[in-house]
Amino acid sequence: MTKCKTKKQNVYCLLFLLPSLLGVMIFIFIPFLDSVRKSFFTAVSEKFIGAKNYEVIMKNDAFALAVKNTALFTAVCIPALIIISFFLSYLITKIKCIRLIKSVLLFPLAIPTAAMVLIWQILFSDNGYINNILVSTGHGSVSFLSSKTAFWVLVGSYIWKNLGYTVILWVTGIMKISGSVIEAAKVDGAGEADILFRIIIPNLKPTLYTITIISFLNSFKVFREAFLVAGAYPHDSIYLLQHLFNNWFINMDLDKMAAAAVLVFSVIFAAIVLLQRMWNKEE
Amino acid sequence: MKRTLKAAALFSALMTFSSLSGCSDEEQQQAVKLSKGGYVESVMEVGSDVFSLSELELIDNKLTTFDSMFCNEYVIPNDGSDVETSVNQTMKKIEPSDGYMTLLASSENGYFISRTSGASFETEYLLLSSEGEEKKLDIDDFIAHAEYSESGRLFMVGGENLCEVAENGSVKPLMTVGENVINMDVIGDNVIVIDEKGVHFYDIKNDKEAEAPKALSDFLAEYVNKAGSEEVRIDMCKAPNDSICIACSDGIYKYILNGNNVEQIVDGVSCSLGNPSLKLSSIYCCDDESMVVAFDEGTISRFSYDPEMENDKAVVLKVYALEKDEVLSQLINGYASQNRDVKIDFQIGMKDGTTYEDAMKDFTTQVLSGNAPDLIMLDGMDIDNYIDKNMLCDLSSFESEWNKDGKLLDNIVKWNKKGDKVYNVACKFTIPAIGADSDDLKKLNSLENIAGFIKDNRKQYDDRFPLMYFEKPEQLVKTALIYESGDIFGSGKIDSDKLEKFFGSCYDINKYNEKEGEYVSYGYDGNEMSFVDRLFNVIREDHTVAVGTVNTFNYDLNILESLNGLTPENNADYKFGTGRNGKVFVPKCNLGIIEAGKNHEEAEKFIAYALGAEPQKLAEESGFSVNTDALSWFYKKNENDINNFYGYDLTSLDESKTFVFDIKWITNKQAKEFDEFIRTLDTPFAVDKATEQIIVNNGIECMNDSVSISVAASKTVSQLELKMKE
Amino acid sequence: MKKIRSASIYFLFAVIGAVILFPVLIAVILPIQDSDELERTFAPLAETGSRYVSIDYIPQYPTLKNFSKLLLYTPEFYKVFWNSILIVGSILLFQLLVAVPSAWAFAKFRFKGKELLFNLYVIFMLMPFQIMMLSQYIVLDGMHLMNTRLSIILPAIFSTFPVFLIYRGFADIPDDVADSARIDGANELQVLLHIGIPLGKSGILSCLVLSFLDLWNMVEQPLAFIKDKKLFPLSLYLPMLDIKNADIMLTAAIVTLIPAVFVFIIGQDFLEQGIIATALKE
Repeated sequence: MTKCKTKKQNVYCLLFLLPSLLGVMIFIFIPFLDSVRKSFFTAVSEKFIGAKNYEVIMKNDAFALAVKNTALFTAVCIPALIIISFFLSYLITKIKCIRLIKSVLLFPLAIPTAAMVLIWQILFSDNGYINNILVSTGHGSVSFLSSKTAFWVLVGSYIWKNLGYTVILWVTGIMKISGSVIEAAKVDGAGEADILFRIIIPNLKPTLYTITIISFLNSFKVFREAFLVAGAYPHDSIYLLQHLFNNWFINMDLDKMAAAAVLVFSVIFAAIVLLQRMWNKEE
Repeated sequence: MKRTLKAAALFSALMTFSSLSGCSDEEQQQAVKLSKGGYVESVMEVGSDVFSLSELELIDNKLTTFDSMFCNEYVIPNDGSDVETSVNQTMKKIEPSDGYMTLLASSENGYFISRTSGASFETEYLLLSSEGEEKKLDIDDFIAHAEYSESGRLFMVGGENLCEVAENGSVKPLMTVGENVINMDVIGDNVIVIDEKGVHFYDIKNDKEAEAPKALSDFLAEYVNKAGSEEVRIDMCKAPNDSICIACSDGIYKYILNGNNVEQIVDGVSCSLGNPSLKLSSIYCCDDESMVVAFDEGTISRFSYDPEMENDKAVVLKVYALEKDEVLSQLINGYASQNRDVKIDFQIGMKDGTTYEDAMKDFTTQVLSGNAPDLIMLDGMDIDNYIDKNMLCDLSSFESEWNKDGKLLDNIVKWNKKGDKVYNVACKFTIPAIGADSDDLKKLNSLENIAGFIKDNRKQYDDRFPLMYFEKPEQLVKTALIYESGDIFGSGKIDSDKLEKFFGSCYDINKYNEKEGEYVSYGYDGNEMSFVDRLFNVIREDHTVAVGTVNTFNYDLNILESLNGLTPENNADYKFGTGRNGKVFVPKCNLGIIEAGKNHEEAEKFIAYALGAEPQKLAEESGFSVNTDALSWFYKKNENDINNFYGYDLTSLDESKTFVFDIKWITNKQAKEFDEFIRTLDTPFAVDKATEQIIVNNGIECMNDSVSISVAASKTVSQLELKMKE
Repeated sequence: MKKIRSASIYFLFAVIGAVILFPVLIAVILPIQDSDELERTFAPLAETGSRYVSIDYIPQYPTLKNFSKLLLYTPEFYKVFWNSILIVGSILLFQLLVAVPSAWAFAKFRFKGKELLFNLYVIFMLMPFQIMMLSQYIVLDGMHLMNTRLSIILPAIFSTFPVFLIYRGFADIPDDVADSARIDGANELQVLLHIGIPLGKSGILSCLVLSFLDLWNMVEQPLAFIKDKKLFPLSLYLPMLDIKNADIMLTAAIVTLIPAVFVFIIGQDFLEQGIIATALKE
């Protein structure tokens, strides 16, 4: 890490950051500040009502449900994805033919959401293909999309889609670990498990940080599929924060939306800071 | 590396290819809209006894059109004087004594006519020369379109072919066209045929099929697509400087042959072309560059160019509606024609397949970003939500403007009054009704009764006919909701048991309505049937029932009131109301003014206009008017005129019974009773689209047997409760 | 022993691969099926009755009719495809120009408030679009960019997502390499150009691939900011078709897929090289 000792370096530093800063300021930061401002006013008539919006949403059942579902979803998917993908990536490093497997795994990411939705409907709807198989083999049909299982369908969809990229990130991270260190350890008589837990995992902390953030980001994207498949008012178990935002927007409840956004922002902010403190000791 | 390079090369080839084909569309030259100079319409009405007008043609150097039903000839002089009406003796001589004649094409030298005999219902086609010589043609197919070219050759479309009819009467097919031909025009050396597949060009000089210019094709295809299932009326004519004029409900457009774009020269919104109650017949471009447009109702307009006309209108009125509505379109057209200095910007939210959610998001964005519309039609929207947010203006502040002399049905117009404040006014209304044989009618007091009635009757009298007409399951749920929503939502919250019974009734009706395995085609064309159309089933068959809304006087209320005159006697009867509640009405075309809109003044004027007597007489098929002067006019409208209504024959499906209807207008006594009745209506039905969609979707699922009734009901309840919690 | 282990790992991946590819397989097979077969697949979804969806794996009458219908008879498709290429291409190009220097600054310099700013960047990346939608609308409207392709392109260029990804790539570059260049007299810009970018290639490329996939499927922004159908990108064309046109939709989906596949085939090659290069450096 080079310290900005010289003025020249300071200038360059600023120059490098400038275009991004400006753009972010105009298109992201200022709109967000406007949202924060809106959270203290009524939606359409713009009367100042202080923290009333926050009060309202805290008591709002729909908000509570959405928060609970979103939190649950995140708490389930992200660890599941991380663990499964790590497991798979570790196995990959033991074999050849990596390219083919990587291509296969990456494929789901490329499929456009609308096509994905159609396929999910073909497979999972009450008249769908899977129910076809279940019924013809004597089991009852399962209402995948309109019952609690919808949650797991969504989780499955998420993992299916993001497995590829996550695995690649892990593999990249593992391959970056210096081969000589591992050789030396082997010479010293370290077993597989030792190498795994003492060398590989500690070195993967930055990769883990990246993966967590990106997985978190992608967990929000799952809204699109849920919305296209189950509509604006899906089954309770997959009613996410974004459904609520979407509906609030339609009903012109911008004030509630802004207040909720600020709350969500603060929570995530705290989480990120925590995450960074814990995992990025390198910097 | 090589593989990557190959892939990259292929990819860039694909990109270039797509860009090349995409690029040409990009270079659409936008015609510069001049600030001055436009077309002014002057309207001539040629008479009230017009059935339909034929294509405008130049005959003996005079612009002529015909009404073949009455063999009338109308000549439009160039100097702006009145239209000359006369009876065309040549045609009159060959008029059938019973039956009717249709003029398919006319020219200097003769006419192409179809003649249908009243007795045998057979149609024959013939060429009639101007001297009166008939030549019968050997044609079996149904001919919908025909036109003579400038050189006198006759072209027509029949049997999925474009054909030419030679002078000796032989028919030669030239080109295949689709099943649904929307329009055919002969313009210069080309015949242009528009069908469901697109646009076809036929070069008559070289006798072969030609390629349709892309810009013209695209424009026509887009217009036809937009119309959806509605009838498309479009006509084209040759214009000076190698161009084509296209007339449609959006206005008049000009296309220069081999050019890149189609330019709008007259906006339909503020002239007769946009008037939903006028059906376009044809357009003709005169030598002096003025255009004459004829409508089937007997209206002929001339559009003349005025170089001094101001194009940039100072006043703009932004109007928003969720879905296309005939009443609103009619009002806008009327208002714009009367107030030529106002530009009306009419936006429809759910057009081109946009979903309700996306339309609402767009609307929200517009309102909150400072681009709010001024006037809004609130049908289908959550009006109370907007009132809570102080989004709508209080219309009672200028009530003296729109409620002059108390000539409005307050109980209907102000159905959504909040204390003293009125935030939306209804411009029209309809009334739900139930129809059945009079003994049965007494027992049908709820949807449940009706469902039970159908179920029992299907089991007892298992004949082929359907017991109740409805177009498709979606329509059934929507209509049924009018009858039961009071019960379901009556207590303020959703009553889940009542909802389950509601779905159960819908399920039973759907299942037992038709004999299992039989499907009777209703000839349904996509529009919702009226209550009276459904009532015909009750008249023809026993043990049947009808539900729906009564919308208007003509062929609706007057038929209901004429039921006593049926021969032979029939027990068919009806009652207003939903069975549970006899005072239900459906307010329509609810107008409101948005607080954030920029032009309150013009919006206020519009509302005053909309509720005035004259505009309330228009768009009569879409609802009863709320203005008492207009209502009085309706009550007396065709009091003494029985010509418009002829005998109606209703034959039962098994063809064993026939009833003859002698339809009259409503009598004074009936009018008085109706008037008193509508003043007592006090239960409005208004459900916003989001709620309706949830109920309908779940209803369809349970009627499909995808889910059980109780599951559908509980899903609906949880969805609706979730919605209310937000 | 090793062989059995390898074999079992291969087997595991074969199974996983099959499960993962199954939906993709459907997406690929269906467009070449004839309308009758497709009807058996789709009709149960759209109508009444308790028929179940059945899928014919080996189409009885394979046909390219659907493709020709899409590519030749639906002119909007080309327009829409070109729009997507144009929009995504320009966004990617400028995203790199903007994000690469920023990521370098975050990775290699220390300044006051860096952590805070970086965290803000990350959170902005995570914010759902709905929250900013209205305010962005007002900003874009003020700039008179509504209903133009720029209204989507500009905000996307400044997305903080690429910064985050490229930062990762740069952070791994050891400082001494940069320092030695500085000692040799290179200025900061040269350091970035000649050292940072070559060594950070893997990060930049993975960013390109992910960003492309993300942008190629972008739906909310165009829906909100563009009204003119002629300017719609491909990602919006698909939802406009519904079950009745399901055959066209799947076909269009395949054609949509193709550029994405290209991108990561090409990208993969470079990624591989990047990884190997980094490993070799050690």
